[in-house]
Amino acid sequence: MNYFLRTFLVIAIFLYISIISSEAAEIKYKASDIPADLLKDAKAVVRKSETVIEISDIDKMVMKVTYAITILNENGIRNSVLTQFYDKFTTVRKIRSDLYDQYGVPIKNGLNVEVKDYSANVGYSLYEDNRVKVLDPKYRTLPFTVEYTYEIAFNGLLYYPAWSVYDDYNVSVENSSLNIVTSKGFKFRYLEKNIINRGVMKSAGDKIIYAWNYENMPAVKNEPFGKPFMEYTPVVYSAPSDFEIGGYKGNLDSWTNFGKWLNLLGEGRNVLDKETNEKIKNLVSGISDENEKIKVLYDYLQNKVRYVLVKVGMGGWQSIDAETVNRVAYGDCKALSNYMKSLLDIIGITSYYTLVRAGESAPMINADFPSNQFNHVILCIPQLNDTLWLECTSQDIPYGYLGAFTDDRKALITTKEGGVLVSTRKYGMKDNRQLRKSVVDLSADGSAIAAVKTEYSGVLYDKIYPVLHMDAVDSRKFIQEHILIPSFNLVSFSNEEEKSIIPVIRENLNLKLSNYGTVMGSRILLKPNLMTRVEKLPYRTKDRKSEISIRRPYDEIDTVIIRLPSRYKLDKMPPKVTLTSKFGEYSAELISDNKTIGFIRRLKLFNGDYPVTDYPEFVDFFEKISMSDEIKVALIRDM
Amino acid sequence: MSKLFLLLLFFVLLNSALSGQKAPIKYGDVSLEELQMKSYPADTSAPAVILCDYGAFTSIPYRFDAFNPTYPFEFVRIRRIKILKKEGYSWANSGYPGSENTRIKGITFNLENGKIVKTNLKNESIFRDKITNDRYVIRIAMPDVKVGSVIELQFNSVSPVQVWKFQEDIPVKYSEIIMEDLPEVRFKNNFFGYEPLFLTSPNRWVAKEMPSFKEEPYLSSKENFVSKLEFDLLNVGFQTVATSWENISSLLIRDPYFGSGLTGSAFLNGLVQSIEDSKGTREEMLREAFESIKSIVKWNEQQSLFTSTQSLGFVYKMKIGNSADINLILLQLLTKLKFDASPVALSTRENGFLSLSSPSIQKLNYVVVLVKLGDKSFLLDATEQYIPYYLIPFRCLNYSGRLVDEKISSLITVGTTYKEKEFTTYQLKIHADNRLEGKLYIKCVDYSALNFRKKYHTFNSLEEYLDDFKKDKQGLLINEPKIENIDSLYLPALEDYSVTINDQVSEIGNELYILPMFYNQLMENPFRMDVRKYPVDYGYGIEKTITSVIEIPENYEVSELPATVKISLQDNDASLAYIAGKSGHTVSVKSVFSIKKTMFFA
Repeated sequence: MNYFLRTFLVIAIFLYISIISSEAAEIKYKASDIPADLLKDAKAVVRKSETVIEISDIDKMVMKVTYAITILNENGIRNSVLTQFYDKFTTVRKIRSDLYDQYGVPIKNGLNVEVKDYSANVGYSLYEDNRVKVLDPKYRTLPFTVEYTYEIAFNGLLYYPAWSVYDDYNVSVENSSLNIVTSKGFKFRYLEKNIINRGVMKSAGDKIIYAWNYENMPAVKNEPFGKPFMEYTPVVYSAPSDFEIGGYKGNLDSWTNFGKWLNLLGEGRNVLDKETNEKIKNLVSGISDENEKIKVLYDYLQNKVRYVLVKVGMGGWQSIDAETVNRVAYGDCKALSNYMKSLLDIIGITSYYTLVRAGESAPMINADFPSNQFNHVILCIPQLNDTLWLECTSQDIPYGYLGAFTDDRKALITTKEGGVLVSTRKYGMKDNRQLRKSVVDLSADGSAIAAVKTEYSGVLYDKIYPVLHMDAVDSRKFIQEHILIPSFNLVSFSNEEEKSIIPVIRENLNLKLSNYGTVMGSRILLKPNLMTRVEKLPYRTKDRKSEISIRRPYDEIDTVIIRLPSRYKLDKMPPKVTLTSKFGEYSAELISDNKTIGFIRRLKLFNGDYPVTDYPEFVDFFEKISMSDEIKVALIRDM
Repeated sequence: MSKLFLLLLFFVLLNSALSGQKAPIKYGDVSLEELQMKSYPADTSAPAVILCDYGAFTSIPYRFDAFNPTYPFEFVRIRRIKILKKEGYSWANSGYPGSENTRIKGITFNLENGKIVKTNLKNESIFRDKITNDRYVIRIAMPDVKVGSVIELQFNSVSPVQVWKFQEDIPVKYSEIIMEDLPEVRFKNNFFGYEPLFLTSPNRWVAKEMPSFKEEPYLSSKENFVSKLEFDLLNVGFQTVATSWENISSLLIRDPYFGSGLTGSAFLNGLVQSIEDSKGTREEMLREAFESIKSIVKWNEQQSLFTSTQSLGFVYKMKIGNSADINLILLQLLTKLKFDASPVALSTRENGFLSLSSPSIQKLNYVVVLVKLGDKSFLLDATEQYIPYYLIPFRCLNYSGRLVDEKISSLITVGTTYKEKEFTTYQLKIHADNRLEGKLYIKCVDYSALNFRKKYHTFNSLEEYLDDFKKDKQGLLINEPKIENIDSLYLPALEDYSVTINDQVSEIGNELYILPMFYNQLMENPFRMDVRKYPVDYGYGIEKTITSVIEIPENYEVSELPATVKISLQDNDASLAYIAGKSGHTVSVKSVFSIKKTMFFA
């Protein structure tokens, strides 16, 4: 008996009934109408996405959206949920949703649908006035389609929303359009990225419409060592020329003007009382070296304040004044950078409040398109031969260190004359190093004890840094999780920090390895490469779309000395491995005398972007490295 | 429970005597020693320590005030925290659940040049974050906090806590909770955890020198092991709530969001008819009923003991519901089909163990269906798409549940004899260039099949799945991938691959070395933490069999085979067997790893 068939019949009867009963309604978004190439790799298909942005003034805009998405499988279910964030300057209104089954038949309009309103505090903030409206159609019978219409009214504008053809991986797009409507003569700017279907401009009465349209775009996948999809798929950025928000008017035609507006916002917010002025002057009295002075004040900052993010109203853009920070001893990136700047002002050292887009893999700033593309603030101190950068939100990172969070990217400094786009510090091959020296004492039963000393410098500091600030139990766990050996016992460990501009962490590990070697009769089999491997290997994929991106170079140098048990010697020397490619260089070789063998490994990885066509070569390079890293040798006992 | 509590506020009219116990802490009374403290002796690496956490729910003299109605009781909490390192700063920014009316005061104490300096918490640093309409989190950033500061907070509200934790992820030096027994408001408490309390009395509990709580892998739930007290309401005015399981059962049966799910099921008539018409055996009918509910009503991923509405017919029509909606619809369907079916209420693994000795309605958070069929019985849960009727989801495997019935309540063991069974077979031939070629089969049965099907469906195509499968398997090329029975839930799931494996044979001198389990060596020991405090809990048994049959080249001889290994824990609760053999030019190796018992004590 085929019970599936029976179940199917039962369902079919139900569906049949529901189809008859709603005959009169309009059939829309039939799943079977989706073109086959849009189903490939897709968890959902955007059937229609219409965005109309009506800009009526420098501080007023309404965005009207119609968005219909067909959910194909369970992974797509979260794409059926509408989430719209808002704050003091935005209102979400006229939300409507309609649900359709796979045959395009409407399912009780809005019956099961309720707009929920939540606080939208993110994990790292204490309090924000951001809120979110969430509309979950709560439907799971696949496939189905949900269509939303809503409006967002902006009252105060610093930026215009970006428009992207894609909004997720594994979601194809049947139809997507953007219309920006302004009155004639209203000035704004836009930037087309990866756009083939260029925007068209048409006139309609006293309005001008700028229009973009895309059809039948297959789904993109998240690819190993790729870039975020916004960097290689069609996106239109738009931005105001003149704007106003929270009563502050500005102009964004140039970075200079953006900086002027930031100066306006910061006016009068860097004054500290007389007592503090005296205190700060006393702190540096007798010190002549400028760097020393800054260091003393940075120490003072790190000991006095802590990072707490509170955002209310203009608080998203405007810093809390220095006086308040001085009193409560906490603040966010804006407040703490502004406070540090105020401290430096007291002793006559010029520093610039600097906007940056933070994140280890944050997208690049569009340098030729002045607009708000930033999410973080740091401090820039110009010096004779160099530029000093201060991250003011951390209570413990070394003076002058930015790390992967804000390194090597364009940032906007705000001078008295306005904003200037400059590059932050880049950490190069010489800076990012992992130097490791291991001494392994092997016993005849295959067990071993190992002493491993490693220095991590430059951005590699970031990867071990958390351990410096953990309690005994957590730090032990952290270290254990970072040791890439299948089975070991951590006898002891220590970490030491060198707080310099290019910081270093020195780690000492003492390990017991119960089965480092596998004893097979008169032989012991082992991997001379004790614990340095490529943690994340690229793997082969078909139809790759994204360029290969390696953001930061590094250099790994490893030496493993293995002291052999008596009467054992190396059976056969494996050949030296040397690999050279445009992505990097690798070498591994074994040396040996009667009592010891030595393994020397070096991997230099270059940073850069490489075309899609290089991917097979890229995978090949890493596969060869991995093969060499795993190489085994045999020791043989004298007879 | 919030509804019940509101009721309570109206019922309580009398007040009772104040608890005679002296508070261990006075707000604002921080000592010089506490400020001078440099580290916490019991754990010198601690970034901060809770010096004292004190909560008391007590009666207070009733004052009549028509404009500001007051309640004859109050919950007061005082918390004193010492900041020892910068890493402890996060304890100076914190969120506490509360209401719009919770009163808060706070002070930061610092030692400056030997003098105690106080900085008061001001309104500018208090944020009442409205999470949803009736739920607030009070977010507080203490002012002027330094390494060495002592911070103190006091909260006054009318609602007592429902859970009092004696442990946090920093050490707790002293913690005390008082829950005064008012004649009309009585609480029942359940203690959980591994660290014992210093004092336990009917209304007062004290813990001293509690270590920080750290999570370990394979814990059934953090909630089961952190030392804490949970309070259940006993009386709401004259109504008795949670004194016995019989009481809880009858409360549930009368609850419109539970008991009404057991009646009024005309909406199922059509389905009942079609299942009856199919004329299968009783077990076939059970399976059909189960599969029908799964395909008609989808789960919204909410776990609940109570239905989302009083009308399950509506849920059925909407085709979506929470776990109680779905399982109670299933229950009704089975009852109509004349099965011996009853609801079983339980506490999921995340929610912590059900106490055997201490009945608690609050601790129940889920309902499944028990069906007796001849001498067999099944626990059914129709929420998950890929589950066959004879398996119950992992989250439910929390040892015990309560059968809910008008008259009786009995203890039901919520466990399973089904295992996570997996058979991996390599059939490979070594070629001249040390390349291995042949077949790889993986057969997944029961929980293993369920897990595989769930995982497989997180990918959008076979290709995506294979990319992920190959990710950590160096040198593996798959030529003809076949995946069978992915949607036939009552058959094992099969992966059938023609494979080429490139770099798993090491040639050293004139010898070849092979690790014969290839990608299935048990590489890591998850129990790396040197000291294990809490029991290891797997939920269900595990049985993993790996077989490798390797044909070696003509011009080679087998010089050495791995030794046979048999390891087993007491009573064969866990065992590992490893056997190797050869015949002519073929080597076969088989390993069987099995765990029978699901809980091991540390």
